[in-house]
Amino acid sequence: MNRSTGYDLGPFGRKILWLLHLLFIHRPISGVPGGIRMEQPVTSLEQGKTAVIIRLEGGFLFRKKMGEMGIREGKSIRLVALQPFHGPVVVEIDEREITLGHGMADRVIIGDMV
Amino acid sequence: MKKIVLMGNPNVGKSVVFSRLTGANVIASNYPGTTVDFSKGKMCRGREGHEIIDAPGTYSLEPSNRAEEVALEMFNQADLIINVVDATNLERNLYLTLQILERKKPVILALNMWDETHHLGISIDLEKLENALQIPVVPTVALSGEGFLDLNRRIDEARPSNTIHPMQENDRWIKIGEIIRNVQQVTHRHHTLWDGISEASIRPLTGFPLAVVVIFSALWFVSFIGEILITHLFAPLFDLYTPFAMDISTRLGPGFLQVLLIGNLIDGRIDYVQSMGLLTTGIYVPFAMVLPYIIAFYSVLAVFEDSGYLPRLSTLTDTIFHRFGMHGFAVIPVFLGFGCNVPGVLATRTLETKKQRFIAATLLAISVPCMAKNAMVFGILGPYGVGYIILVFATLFIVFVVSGLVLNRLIRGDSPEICLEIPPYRKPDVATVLKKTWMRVLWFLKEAIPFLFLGVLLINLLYAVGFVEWLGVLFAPVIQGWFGLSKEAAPALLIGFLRKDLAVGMLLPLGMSPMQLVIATTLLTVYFPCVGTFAVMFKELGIRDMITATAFMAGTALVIGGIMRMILLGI
Repeated sequence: MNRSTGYDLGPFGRKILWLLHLLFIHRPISGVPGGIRMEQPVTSLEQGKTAVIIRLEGGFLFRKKMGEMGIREGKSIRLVALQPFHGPVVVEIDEREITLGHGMADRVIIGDMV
Repeated sequence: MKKIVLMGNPNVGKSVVFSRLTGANVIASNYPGTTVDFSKGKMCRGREGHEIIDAPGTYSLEPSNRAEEVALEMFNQADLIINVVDATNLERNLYLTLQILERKKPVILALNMWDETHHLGISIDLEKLENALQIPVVPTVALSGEGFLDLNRRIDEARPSNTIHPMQENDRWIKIGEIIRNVQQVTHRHHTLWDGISEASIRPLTGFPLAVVVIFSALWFVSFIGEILITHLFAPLFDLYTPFAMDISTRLGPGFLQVLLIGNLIDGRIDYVQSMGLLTTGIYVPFAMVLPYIIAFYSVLAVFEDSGYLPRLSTLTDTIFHRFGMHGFAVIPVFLGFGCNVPGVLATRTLETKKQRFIAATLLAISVPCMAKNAMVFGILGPYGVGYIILVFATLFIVFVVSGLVLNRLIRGDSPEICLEIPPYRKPDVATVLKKTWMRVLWFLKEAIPFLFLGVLLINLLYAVGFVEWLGVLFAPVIQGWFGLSKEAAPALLIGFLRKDLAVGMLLPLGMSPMQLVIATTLLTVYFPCVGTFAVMFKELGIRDMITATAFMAGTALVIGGIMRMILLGI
C-alpha cells in the first residue's frame, strides 16, 4: 500500500511512482532561486548540516522505535556521517549520536535547514 | 523477601549501580546491550533481606528483541523498581520511566551520571521532577558512589505514582515535553575536542584508517603483553616447578599412574607440551600457553568497551556484516570470540533475528579462533616460521567471508537494519578495567581447566584401552586420503573437541611436514567448536539449528581440508 495516498498502486504503479520520485524529489535542490526547499529524507542532507524532522514515513512500529531513540517530529537532526555503499547513517539528536540503517534514515523526512 | 529490579535504557550505568548496591562483581561497559543475562544479588537493609535483579537495558516495555523480553519478564516479577536514568539524556529516558509508572508499581528514580550534567550545561530541578512524577528522585554517580547512601535510605519511600496514568504513545511524548520544559534547563555547549574525535572516528574517510590502526595496535598489544607475561612470569614459575614434578615422577616409578599424572618422559625429561600428564601438560597448557594471552586480551577488550569505541566500529563495519546476513552489532560477538567463543556465542543474543543469531554463532565457531586455538596455531607452527601462521589465519579469514556469504543465501529470515545509540567517549577507569579483566580471567579458568583435565585424562585412558588406534584405522581414509595427513592425527582431531590447545602435544610428535601441520591446525579450528562452545550453542540455538550448524561445520571442514590438500600438498 502506498503510504501517502492510501491506495494500492500495484507493482507497476509503484515503479512509476519510484521513477517520479527519483526524477523530481530525490534530486538535490541546489540551484533553486529563493532557496525553496521541498521535503527530503535526512540522507540527502549535507554532512554536518542540521534540519528539522517534519515526518516519519512508516508504520506504528517504525515510529515507535524511532521515538524511543529520540527521533521524532519537530526535533532538530544533524547528519554526522554517511557510510558508503548504502551503509548506515549517523545522525545527531539532542547531542546524542545515533546510527540508523540507510533504509530507516530514508524514511526520516526533514524540512528546512536550520 | 522483596524483589527489587533495576530498569533503565541501555548504557545508563545500571550494572554499576547494581554492583554498588550489592557489592557484587558485575561487568558494565560503555556499550549498549552487554547485559544479556540478568544478574541477581542480595542486599541487606536493616533486618530485611532483598533480592536485587539487574535487568537488561531496554527502551520500552514493549520488547523488540530477546534482551528486552527478559527485561519485561523481570519487570513483571518485581515488587519494587529502581529506575536508573541517564541524567544527561533525561528526555529520552523518561519514556521508559512513564511506561513503568503507568503500570503502578512502587518506583524510585536514580538520576545517574549526575556529575556529567554540570559539564554539559544541563541543570535539572530535582524538586520539580519529584513533584511531576510523584516518586522519590535521587541523583547518583555510580562510578564514584556518590548518592548511594541517599538511594539506599530512600528505597522505602518508593511508591506508585499518582500523577501518571496509562496513556497513548503520542500523549506520552507530550507529557515528557511538559515535564522537560518545567524541570530542565540547558545552556548552550560548545563542541569540544572529544566531539571532533568522535565524529572523525565515525566518518568513513577518517574512520576506516583509524579503525585499522586501532585494531592492529590492539592485536600487537595483546601479543606484546602476552609474551612479557610468559617470559617474565609463567616460564620462570614452571622452571621452579619442574624439579618438584620430576621428583613425583621418580617416586611413582614407571606404570599407569606415572603415565596419567606425569605422562611420557621425552629423553628422560618432562616436556610440558608433549608429555600429556595431568600434572604436566594439564597445568602447563592453560597457565603458560593460554592464560597470558587471555589476560592481555581481556584487558584490551575492557579498555575498548569502556571507551565507547565499539559502537563506532559497529557502525563502520555494518555494511560488510550485512553481506553476511548480520549487522554491525555482530562485531561484539566476533570480538569476544577472539578471547573465548563461549561468551561470544552468548553475546549473539543482542542480535535481533534468529537468522542473525544463527549465522553469528556458526561463523564464530567455524572461523573465529579463540585464544586457545591461537595458542595451538602458534605452538605448532611457530617453530617453522610466521609464513605458515599467516597461511592459517588467511585461510580462516577466507572461510569466514565465504561461509558468511553462503549462509546469508542459505538461511531464511531477515536481517533488519542497524539502529544503535552511540555513547560519548569516556575515559576508561583503571580500577574498573582491572576488575573486569580479573573477573573474566577467573571465569575463563573456571570454565577451561576442568575440560583440560578431562581431556588429558580421556586421552590417557583411550590410549591405554587401545581405542585411539582403532579410531585411527576407522578415520584413516578421510584423514589420510582426503586431508593428506598421517593417520595418527585422528586422535588429535578427536581430542580437539574437548580442548583445542591439547592437540599441540599430540600433533607435534607425528613428524608431519609444515604444510600438513597447516592443514591439521586449520581443520582443528574449523571442524568443531570445543565442547564448551558446543554446549552454549545448543542452549542458544536449540536442537534443530544446532544440527544444521554442526552439519555446516562438518561440511565446511571436509571442503576446506580437501581444497587445502590439493593446493598446499599438490596431491
